[in-house]
Formats: sequence, structure tokens, C-alpha cells
Amino acid sequence: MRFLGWVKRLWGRSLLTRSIITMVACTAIAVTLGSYLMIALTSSSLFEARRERVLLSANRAASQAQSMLSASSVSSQANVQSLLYSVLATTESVTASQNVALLRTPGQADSASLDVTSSAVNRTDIPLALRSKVGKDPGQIWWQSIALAENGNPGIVAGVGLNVPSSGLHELYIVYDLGADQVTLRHLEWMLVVGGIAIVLLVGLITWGVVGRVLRPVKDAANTSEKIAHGDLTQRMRIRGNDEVTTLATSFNSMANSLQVKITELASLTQMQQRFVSDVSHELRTPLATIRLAADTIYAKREGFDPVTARSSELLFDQTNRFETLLADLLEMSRFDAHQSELDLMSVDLGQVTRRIVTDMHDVSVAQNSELSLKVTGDVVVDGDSSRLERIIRNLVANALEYGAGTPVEIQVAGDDNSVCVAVQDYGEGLTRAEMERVFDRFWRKDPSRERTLGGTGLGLSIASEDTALHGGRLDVWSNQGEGTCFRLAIPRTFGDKITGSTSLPLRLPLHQDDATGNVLLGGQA
Amino acid sequence: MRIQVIDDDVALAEMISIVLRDQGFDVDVSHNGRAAVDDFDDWNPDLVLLDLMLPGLGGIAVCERLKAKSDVPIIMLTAKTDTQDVVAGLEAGADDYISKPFKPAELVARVRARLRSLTPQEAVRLYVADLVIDVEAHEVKRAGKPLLVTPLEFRILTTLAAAPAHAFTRDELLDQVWGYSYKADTRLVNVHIQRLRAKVEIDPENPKVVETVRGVGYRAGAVTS
Repeated sequence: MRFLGWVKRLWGRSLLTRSIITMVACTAIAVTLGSYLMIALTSSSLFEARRERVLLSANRAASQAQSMLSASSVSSQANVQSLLYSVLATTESVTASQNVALLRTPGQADSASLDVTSSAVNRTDIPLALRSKVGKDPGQIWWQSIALAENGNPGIVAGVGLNVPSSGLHELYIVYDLGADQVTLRHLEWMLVVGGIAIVLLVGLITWGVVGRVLRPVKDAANTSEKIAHGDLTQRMRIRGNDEVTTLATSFNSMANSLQVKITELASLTQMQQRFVSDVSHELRTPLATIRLAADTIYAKREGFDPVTARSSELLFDQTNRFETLLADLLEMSRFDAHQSELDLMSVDLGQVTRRIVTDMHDVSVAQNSELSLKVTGDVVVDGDSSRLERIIRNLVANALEYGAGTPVEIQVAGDDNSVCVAVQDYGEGLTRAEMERVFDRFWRKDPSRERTLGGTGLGLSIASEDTALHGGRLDVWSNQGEGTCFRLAIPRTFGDKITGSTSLPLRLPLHQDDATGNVLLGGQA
Repeated sequence: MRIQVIDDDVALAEMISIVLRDQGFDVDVSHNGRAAVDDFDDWNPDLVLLDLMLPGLGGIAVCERLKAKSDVPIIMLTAKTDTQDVVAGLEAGADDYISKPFKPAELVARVRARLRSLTPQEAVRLYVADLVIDVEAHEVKRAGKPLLVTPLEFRILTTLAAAPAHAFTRDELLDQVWGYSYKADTRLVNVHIQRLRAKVEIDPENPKVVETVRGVGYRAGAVTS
């Protein structure tokens, strides 16, 4: 069975093998059919020829025997018997067969003469069907194919009726052995088999040679493609001759050329993007630092200003905050795009992180009139970047408070062998299907006209999903309009593992889960 | 208290001076690296605020030169937050760093934390692994031979040694050694622990003085001598 599997694989992987196997199989079938046909035809014509000779010989023997019998004039029993013996001997010598039988036709008046047979005769070789035919029509020669009892060879029995004076009707049977012909046929068969195998092997070899030659440029193309795919963009195919293969090679090379150009272009673009990130980072931040300090200083002294200046300083302060957040988010996204994000891996206790966030957001939850609850179950430590993970969870909680419309916000943290999950559920307006698909888009906001109470740049979830991807985790959202929304973050325990199967927390938490153990209730109605 | 501000951006340097002076500090400003080193000798500040990206003599080089002269606390100002830039600055000897932009309150808090005289430890002598720490004399000795560490590194060592069974989280160390932990970057702790290990460990790859406690932070090694 394993051999079959090996053959199957070879079949699939190699054009050459397929061609060889196909050619060999077809040739084998053709050779086999042809051989059968040839043997069948030869066998029957051999038989025909032999039978003609047999009947001729039998005819001659019969006439000679009859004339011997007719010419004699014996009458006594003993003389008849010895006459029969001499007829037998003559027939034996005429036909050169030791297998002759002279039998008295049954159903006649009793007589004293006995059947005489050659020493080699086996009575079973003379079939009853033949005897009855000869008995019915003794004038002509009847024959039948038999298998000799002695050695199993094929043979022909010829029989004819004879008139024996003073004894009535006798039957002369001559058994001819066709064994020699059989041997000839066997020899022929062997030659055909050997020849057939030789042809099949030869065809296999020729196919291997010819097809191999033809496929060489294809193999060349495959090898060159592989080298290019592995990074060596300078590889090209050799161009020889002026046939279809040349066209293949030329087109392949021009394709490789344009690939090389494009990839080099992209690489330099990425480099430019990365340089942009660090240059812009530096250039924008320094003046912003000055503005920040100035805005804060003015804002701190606004009590002493006239109302116009005081209000201006407030707006300046607020918008400087907003600008700073936006810049930080934009730079973060640029870093993701330029593949420049670094992961500072450590053991992070997601329960601790979430607890800290819940404590920090206590005041906000009071202001929003949303009860914040947290439940941590079991060991929830993962390999990860603690500041990024905190950023993700903080964003999820902030969104839940902002869009929860005063409903309770429930957070659960739990883990299994593969991963740890943090699920943040609110019971607010929820999202439509269309909104769910776009919720992670950059700058997408649920309601653009909505007043931003908690700030936010529209990049929060985009950054969260990029941060999640860096960890090899998953960030899923479930929502039903009018019922609420649940965001579930899943992070693999060991960095590099994939999230497998169903995670430890369901995507939809039931309303007001009633559980006394490990429940930490914070914030809420004042 | 005197603070030296080294930044090539004139507006920012001035704004920082305004903020600090408002808090009662004396402030002097240098705008390039070479001048900064000379000014340092002339002014003798109690603390230095140093921008990493300086024309001429770069921020890292200035930091190394100043640290070679004295143990004056240096706080880095940096627009870049990529790890390698931060770590490079810390490894050059900076005690702390702030990334731009920052709030004035943050800046002042960090400055005060570094200037605060370190509260005297209760113990007179502390032991960790095969080291003897003379708290009053500010000396660390192995088999009688003193090891040179900066005041910050000394502080880390004494904090760990004073509570030998306790595994300190990075936040706890930031709080006790640097004087704050809110909005802090734990990379500070990592780099300074590494620098400390390079100085006091026989084999920094197999630390016996400052042990890593996986999932928590660091702990003083068991006393051996």
C-alpha cells in the first residue's frame, strides 16, 4: 500500500514520470493485446493444418486396411482374429502411430472376434460421441479433438467404419498426438512475452530520453523561478535556438526583469517610509513640545486672564491635547505600515493590567453612569508587550463606556492552555452588520456627528487590531442592534503560538452574570 | 538648585527655562554639544536636561563626557522613542529620560525626583550575594575590594538588599529608586539593572547579585559569604 502511495506522489510531482508511465502502460496494453491475437490466430491455423494432415493420413490408412480386409478370404475365427491383428499392425506402421484401435461395432450378432488395440491405446481416449457417429455413418471418416489421457496433450481421434469378412462392421480408430505442435506454440508464446517486455522497456527508455529532453527547458524555468522566489532576483533562463522554447525563455526573462524592478522599487519605498516615520517623528515633536509647555503654562494661569483670553487658553490647551494624541496615533500607524513596530516581550498578567485600567477609569465610569465590573478567572499570564496590551484593553473599555449609553460594562478575563481572553461587554445601542465590518477601519467612527466625550482619534481600534496582530492574537466583535456589543481579545499564552479552536470566553456574555466568586464591582451609580 | 538645559531648539529650550524658573530653579541653557561641556564646567549644575539629537557633538557623546566628570543626574530629552535610541542614551549613562512632548508637571516631577536627597536607609550594613554594602559610606565591596557604581545603581542595590526576600516589580523599583512610577517606562529599569550587573556580577550572564524573577521582576541574590 505504501508503494502505491509513493507511486501516486511521483505521478503528481513529475511530468516526466507521468509521460513514461503513460507510454509504458499504453505500450504494454497494445503489446499484450497484439500478442494474444497473434497466438490465437497462429494456434488455430496450426491446428487446421495438422488436422488436414491427420485426416489425410487416416484416409489412407483406412483405405489400405479396407482393401486388406476385402482381399482376404478367411472364414474361421482364428483366422479372422489374426487378420485383424495384421490390419492393426499395418495401420500402425502406415500412420506411424502406436495408438490404433480396431473395435467391433456394438449391436451386431454375436461373434467370436475380439477388439484389437495397440499397446498404447487408452480406451478412454475414444469418446462415445465419436463411436456413435461412426456407428451411424461408417462410410466416412469422423474426427474429434481430445485431451490424451496419458499425458494430457491435445490430440485428434479419427474414426471410420470397416467391413470385416465373417465378422461384420468394425470401427477403426487412430489417435494422433498433437503434443509437438503444442511445444511449438509454447515457444512462440515465450518469444512474444520476452519480445513484448523488451519493447515496453525500450519504449520506456525512449520516452525517458525524448520527453526528458523536451522537458529540460520547463525544468530550467521551474528552477529559475524557485531561485527568484527565494530572493535572487538576478536569475535568468538561458536562451538557445529559435523555437517555442526560446520564446518561453525570452518572455520568462522579461517577466523576471520587471519583477526585479518592481520589487526594488517597493523596497526603496518601504525604506523611504521608514525614514519618513523617524524623521517626521523628530521634526514634529520638538515644536509640539514647545507648544505643549506653553499651552499648559498659559492654561495653568488662566484665572488671572480676562474671559476672552481665559477661554482662548482653554481651547488652546484642549486642542493641543487632541493634536498630541492624534500625532502619536498617526506615528504609531506609520510604524505599523512600515513594519517598524517593536515588541517588548515580557510576562504580562492580564488580570493585573485590566484591574489597573478599571481603577483608572473609575471616574469616567461614574461620569457616564455606567457600572464597571471585572471578573478574573484563574491564571491569566501571557507573553506580550505590556504597554501595547494595556493600550488595547484601555481602548476597549473606553469605547464601551463611551458608547454604552449608561449601561453596565462587564469585563471578563479568563484563559485556557492555548490563550488568554479579555472580553468587554456593554449593553448599549449595538452595531449593525455593516458597522461591525468597518469598526476596525482607520478613522471610522460610529456616529461622525457625535460629540466626542472621551476624546479619541478614530484610530483606537485600528491601533488595537494592529497591536493584536503583532502578538499573533485575535480581536473579535459581536453585536446586536439594541442589545449591546462585546469585543473579545485573545492572546496566545506563548509568543509564536497560534490561537486554536474555541477560546476560553464566549463572544456574547449573558446580561448581568450572577456570580459571587471573584467578582469585583467598581464605579457605577453615584 | 541649578539646572543646565542642553537643546539646540531655541524655542523649546526657552520654554523649558520658563517652566523651571517658574518653579524656583535657576536655569542655564546651552545650544550645542561642545559648548555644553564647557558650560557644565563653568556653571556646575545640580541636574542636566540633555536633548539626544544635538548638532556637532551628539547627545550621547555629551552624556558620556559629563558622566565621566561627575555623578550629576542627567535626564535625556528625546523625540525618538525607538528602543535602540533610548537604550543607547541610557547606556551612555543617563539616569532617566522624557519623550517629547511632555507636560510641564511631568518635567518638574522628574527633575524633583532626581534632585531629592535619597532618604537615608535604616541599615548601616547590607549584604547581598558575596558583596558587602556600607550604606553610610556609599561603598560596595567584594572581598574587601570596592566596586564603582553610580548613585542610582547604588540605590538599586540597597533597595533590593534591604528586602532580601522580596521580588520587586519594575514598577516598584521605579517608585522606590527613581521616585515615580506613573507613565514610566520599564526599559529604564532593564537598562540600569544590566549596567549594574555588568559592574558587580562575576558573570553577568549568570547573575547572582541581582536575580531575575520570571513574571515579576528582580530580587537580591542569596547571601553567600
